[in-house]
Amino acid sequence: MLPDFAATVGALAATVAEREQSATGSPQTARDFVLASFAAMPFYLRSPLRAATLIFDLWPLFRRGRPFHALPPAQRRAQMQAWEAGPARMLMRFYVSLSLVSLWHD
Amino acid sequence: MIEPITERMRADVVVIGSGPGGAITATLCAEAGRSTLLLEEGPDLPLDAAPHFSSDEILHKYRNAGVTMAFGNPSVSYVEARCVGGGSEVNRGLYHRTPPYILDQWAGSHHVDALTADALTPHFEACEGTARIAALPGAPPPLSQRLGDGAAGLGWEAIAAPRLYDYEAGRKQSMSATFIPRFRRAGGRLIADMRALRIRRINGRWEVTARHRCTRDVTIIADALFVACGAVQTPALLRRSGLRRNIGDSLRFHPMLKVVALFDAPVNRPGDPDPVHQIKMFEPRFGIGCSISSPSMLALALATNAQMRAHIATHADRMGLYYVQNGTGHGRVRALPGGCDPLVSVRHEAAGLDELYDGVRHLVRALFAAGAIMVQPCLPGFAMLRSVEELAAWPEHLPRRSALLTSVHVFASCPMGENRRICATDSWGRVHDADGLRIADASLMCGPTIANPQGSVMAIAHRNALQAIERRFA
Repeated sequence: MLPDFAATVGALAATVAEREQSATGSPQTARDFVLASFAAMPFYLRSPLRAATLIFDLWPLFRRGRPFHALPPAQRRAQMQAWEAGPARMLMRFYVSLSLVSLWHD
Repeated sequence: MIEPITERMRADVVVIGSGPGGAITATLCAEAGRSTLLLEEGPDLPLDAAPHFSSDEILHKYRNAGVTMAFGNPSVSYVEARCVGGGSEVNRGLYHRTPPYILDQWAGSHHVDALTADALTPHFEACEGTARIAALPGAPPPLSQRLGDGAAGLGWEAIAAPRLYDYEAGRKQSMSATFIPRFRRAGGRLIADMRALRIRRINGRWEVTARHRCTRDVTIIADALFVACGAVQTPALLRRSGLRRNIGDSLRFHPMLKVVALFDAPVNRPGDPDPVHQIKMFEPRFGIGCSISSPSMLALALATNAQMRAHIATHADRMGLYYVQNGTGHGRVRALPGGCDPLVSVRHEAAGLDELYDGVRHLVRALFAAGAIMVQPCLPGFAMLRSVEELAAWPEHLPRRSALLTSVHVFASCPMGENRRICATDSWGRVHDADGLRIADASLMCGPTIANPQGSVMAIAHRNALQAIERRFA
């Protein structure tokens, strides 16, 4: 299974939405907001962020046989938590922050 | 009205950028009878095209959808507008005149001529009339009043800042609602979605190469040119065009750290006016104020603090978001080859970060004095506080990895003054060694004001535009 940037963003937004159970926004809207924000970013941020996101997606492939976006929800949550506490926490902070803005949109 | 776009256009005066500096400059030039063309890179959207501080507004009115970064240790996430009216469309419109001691500092450090508080007063007054600067009538919202109460409880002074706001109509004001209509009434032409790529001096005139969203590149010829693209894009355009002397070497910010307080009673009711209280007595070391505290802004500030974030669902009406800001950090703007977005870097001195950190401690004390039952600094690794005594357990210095700095004010990248060693322009915004080229935005400021800089930008643009007209743009 190949890494998929948009599917990974969707899976990240869905995982944040699961954790924010009281937020009223939809994971789909959060995914669209994150992708629109990504498209508008400076190119020198966009390229490394895309590469890091694809690495994040591929990370569980050898251990679990699937990329992040195809994992069941519990395993997605575990991988996100691990990355949030690790050296790639800025990557997670980026996706969590943008997803939260959309999910908690008044 | 849509302005027709042709491959080659001509105007007496071209102003690039329609934020507060550009809009005021263009208005005065048009009213002086000059054919004036105002170019704006972003779209021309009504002030209320999207709810204020919403994700829609972020996507449509902010540069890079709000994802812009000055790289450093720590980095600073800053936001700029990219729409007709510039920053005035997306900010809260809090307004201050430049503090006189700041003008004195600029006179000393940059040798700025004739920029005293008295000399600027008529320009402040002229701008305030059109921009509808007003104090909040009646009682401030509780979220705001709490900060005032906390300050009073500690013997500190707090003020309620005026805003660009029509309180009778209940409507925020901005350039698109005030100066831009005046500019159009004076016969000025505005073209939105037009990005200036480079400028050059040719045959005694300025030539702007620009690209419209829907057309090929166009060439615009002007006798006089004002660049007012903001403190990052102005130096980027000038450097792309080969103008580099003291351009983009001295960018400054007002970096902020934020804190969320949970109170014992509702303070944050839907429909409340925006908060206006500020504690200014510690400036220039740091200033303290209130932020927009919608659920989405609370969630964003608490992105690394799940424990406090969990209260948003049930207690958002008892939560308030507050900030501390100062002038720490020295930045640089560099144009990248072939790229639209310049690279911005920042370096910090430990003393500036320490002062900001001290400001967070002061803010925490004020919030507990105001009746907060829990306070969460928006700093990764910092636990929620339940009493002011718990501050004693904080580290002596702010760990740089915890310093999540954000900024909504960028300025001083092309400072004005007669000190040619450090200044990009003279005291009136004329770029050194570039006839007929002026800067008219926050780039001209010589350093931080700590107070909201929009009033300074407007008054200085007004002063400089009148001088340019009087001198026939020489």
